Amino acid sequence: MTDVCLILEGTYPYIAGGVSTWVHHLIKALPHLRFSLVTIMPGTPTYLEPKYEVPDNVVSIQPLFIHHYRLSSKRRYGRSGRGFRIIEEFYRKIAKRDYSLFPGFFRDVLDPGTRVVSPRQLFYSRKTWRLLLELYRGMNIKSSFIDFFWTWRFSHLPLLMLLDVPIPPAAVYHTICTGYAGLLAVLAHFKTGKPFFITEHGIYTNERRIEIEQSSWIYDPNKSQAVINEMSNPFKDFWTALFDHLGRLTYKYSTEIITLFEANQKMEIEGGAPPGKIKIIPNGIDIGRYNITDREQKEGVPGHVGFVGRVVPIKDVKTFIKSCKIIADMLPRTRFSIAGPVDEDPVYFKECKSQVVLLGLEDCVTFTGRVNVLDLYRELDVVVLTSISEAQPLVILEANCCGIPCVATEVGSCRELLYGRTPRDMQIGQSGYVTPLSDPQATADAVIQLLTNSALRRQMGLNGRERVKRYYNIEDLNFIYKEIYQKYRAGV
Amino acid sequence: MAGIGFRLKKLLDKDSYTSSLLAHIFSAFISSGPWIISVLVIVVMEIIQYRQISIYEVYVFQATVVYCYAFSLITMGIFQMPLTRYLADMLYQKKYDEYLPAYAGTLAVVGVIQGVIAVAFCFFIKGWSHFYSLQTYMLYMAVSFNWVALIFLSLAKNYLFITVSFFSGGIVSFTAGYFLGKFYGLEGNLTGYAMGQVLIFLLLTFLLVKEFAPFKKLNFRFLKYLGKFPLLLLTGLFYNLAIWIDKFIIWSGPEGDPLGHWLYFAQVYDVPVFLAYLTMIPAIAYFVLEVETSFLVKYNTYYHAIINKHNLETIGLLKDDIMFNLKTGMWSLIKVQGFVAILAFVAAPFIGDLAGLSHTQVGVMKVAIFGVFFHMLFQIISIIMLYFEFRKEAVLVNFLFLLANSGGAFLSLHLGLWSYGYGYLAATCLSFFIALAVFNRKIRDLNYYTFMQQSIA
Repeated sequence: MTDVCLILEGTYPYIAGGVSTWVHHLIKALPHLRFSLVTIMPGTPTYLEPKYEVPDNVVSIQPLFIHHYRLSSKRRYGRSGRGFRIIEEFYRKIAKRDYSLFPGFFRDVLDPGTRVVSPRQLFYSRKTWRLLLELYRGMNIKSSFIDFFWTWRFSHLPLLMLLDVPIPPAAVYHTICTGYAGLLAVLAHFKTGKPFFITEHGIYTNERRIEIEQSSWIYDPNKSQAVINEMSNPFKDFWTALFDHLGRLTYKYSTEIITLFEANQKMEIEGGAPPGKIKIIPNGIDIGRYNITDREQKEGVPGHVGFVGRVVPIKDVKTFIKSCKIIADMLPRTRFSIAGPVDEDPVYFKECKSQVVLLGLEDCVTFTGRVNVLDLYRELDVVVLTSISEAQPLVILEANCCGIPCVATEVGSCRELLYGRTPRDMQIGQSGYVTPLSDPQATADAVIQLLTNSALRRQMGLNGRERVKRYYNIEDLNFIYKEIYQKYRAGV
Repeated sequence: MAGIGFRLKKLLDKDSYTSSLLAHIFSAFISSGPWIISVLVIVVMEIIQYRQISIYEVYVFQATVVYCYAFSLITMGIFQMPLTRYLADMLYQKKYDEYLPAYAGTLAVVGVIQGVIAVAFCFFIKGWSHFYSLQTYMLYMAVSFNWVALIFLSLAKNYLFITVSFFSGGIVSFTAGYFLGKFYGLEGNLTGYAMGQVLIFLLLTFLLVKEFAPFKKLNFRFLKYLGKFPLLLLTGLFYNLAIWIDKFIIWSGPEGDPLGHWLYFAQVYDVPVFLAYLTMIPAIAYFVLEVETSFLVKYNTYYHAIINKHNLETIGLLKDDIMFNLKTGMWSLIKVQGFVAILAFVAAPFIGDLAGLSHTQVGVMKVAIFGVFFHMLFQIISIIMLYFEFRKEAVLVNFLFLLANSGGAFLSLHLGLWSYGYGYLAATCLSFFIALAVFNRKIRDLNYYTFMQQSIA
């Protein structure tokens, strides 16, 4: 029995990334709590190398390969008719976003100990076939039965793979997203009777929806028609609906819902989360590490503007380069550093480089590649972020903590980070500017404002440092989680 | 966030439905075709043999040939369907250069297995000269290899050449048998007969080499299919065993004549039944034609409609089309085979006279003709089952046929001479109706089986 069982999907400890790093720090920060991990992974069983040095307070790591299709025949002997009736009813109700039948559905269809229908039956039986035909007719699809059929199979197979997974005993289950991990957390809750809660960094349902809309492997019956109309794609809708249901189900049974910032909160509410359950706990940084106070405040010297991030399209480096041109025209001799790995999207990097040449900025714009950001922060006067999508960018916290004001696009939590979230937070004052997306002029104007007014720059830097210290100290934030975990351990 | 979402394999592209299964038909009938020619040759030879050797020796000769066919066929039954399936897959994937290496590989495997069986069979019969044993050995191996060649050629579909090969082989068997028999008696008959079979093997191999890309290296990949399709393996074995089991049982009874150590023959049963088998010919021809022209078109339309993303309604209509086609096809077949059976029944006394059958033998033949009627229909249903990949059902009905034919033969032994043939008739009749019922149940839900029974590996 561990204190916390973390249910993860495609992240810690096998895949490096923002969420994984967050999990790693959280576990490390709470050495007195014992963790077990269940990590849902795509594909079929292979040996996976942990990308992190897993702390000693992790008692067990259980990878779960969701595309390893092994259908269980386990069920309680008895008439399966009741099981199929409840399946029919359950699906009819969830179409209206009514999940009230879930407990009965869990008992008769999902739980290996009590179900009267086995996953194998569910997958191959004639009764399922009949339900499928009804569903197909109900969806009023004009074409491609085979796509309908395989959409059903592929969407339901991974779900069936979750049913018989042994759940590590724990005082509380903590899932880091909805989706498959969310469903597994719901199952764990029903199997063990222990509560679970969720921390969502990105909004899973939304991310999936975007992915599905852009995917080319889902058949589009409208494409083959000569006139492209605005008809929705029933197969894409099917997938989107699946993840939407998983999200709603997770929110319904979760005891609390934690997210990083307010924009996410709104999306969660749209996705079915009861507003009363949602709580915002942002990500924090290590204040000690970024507490650079010996930064020289130069007067009259040309400024140094930094872009800290990977050179990839989502960061919209090109908008930054365009704004460099505007700034350089106004304030010649300003230096610009683009600091971050360039090898992830070589084509995009090449395009950015030629844009620099095209605008005649070779002398002032430098691609530094991977660097030690602490050294860089000592030199920078302004940090710019032009991303078209972000959650809670740590760059802003880091720069602010070093006393550097930021200019950031209005994405994710940038507004909260630079202007404050709560009234008390806002009283601290601005620590930079928020600009519209893909607007080089606005970005440039904000940067020029800061470069030409050293008093403003200094004040905003101090505001930023104050805000980070007060609200984004990782130690404080980990302590909040510690309290949450301990609350569940005590059985409150 | 690195959520896994649904990085799924796009299985829809896999054209897993339309593996060419046409080969099953030809492969199924090759166990009948050459056999028919052989029966003809034996019957014709019998007429001339009486001038050369004693009746006892004629029986020994006939029994030897029959044993060679029976045992080689039963052993080959294990390979027949998995091998056919393998070749059909290679054909579908257009891997034509797999053919000759696979042919050589199969000959090697079959050569070893049949070689061992044949040693036991040929050299441990008391009263046979070494020369006769050797000739039997050669015949057995030639017949075995001919089955292999035919399985491979069933995909080449060069029916004319195959027919010519068997016909030439038959003529050589007859002439060489006749002339050598003149000087060497029984041993001469058998040597001549075996020479014809060896010639067939050489001709068929020649055709195979001519039709398919050059030979590189022995290839035993087909052996994997034995493990991959155990149900096909059993289906072939059960069927080939079933068509011989009644003879084996009758041989063990009072009418079985011991010829040497464990060689038996039952003139009163075997000859009329073999003759009755000949009535299958018109129906086989009709069925092959019907399948190629009409059924296959419907079959392909159905599966192509599924793959080409048609809606359920269209698929349903095409399924009904297949069922209608099968129903009418079955009725035509019943009419053709029924007509032939009635004709043969009426002509039975004349045929009996011509082949020198006794009164009892004619009686057995009359019954067996109707047994063949059901036998034919049963076999066709069992092939169509394989067409739709109803493998479990195919193995089941063939096992049932095996049981029924054994039971029928035992019952005949019990009831006495008058009932010979009725056991076979009852067995084929029962097997046919059960196979029909089973198939009917399955085909009605073709859509369900086509979709839901696809594996997810």
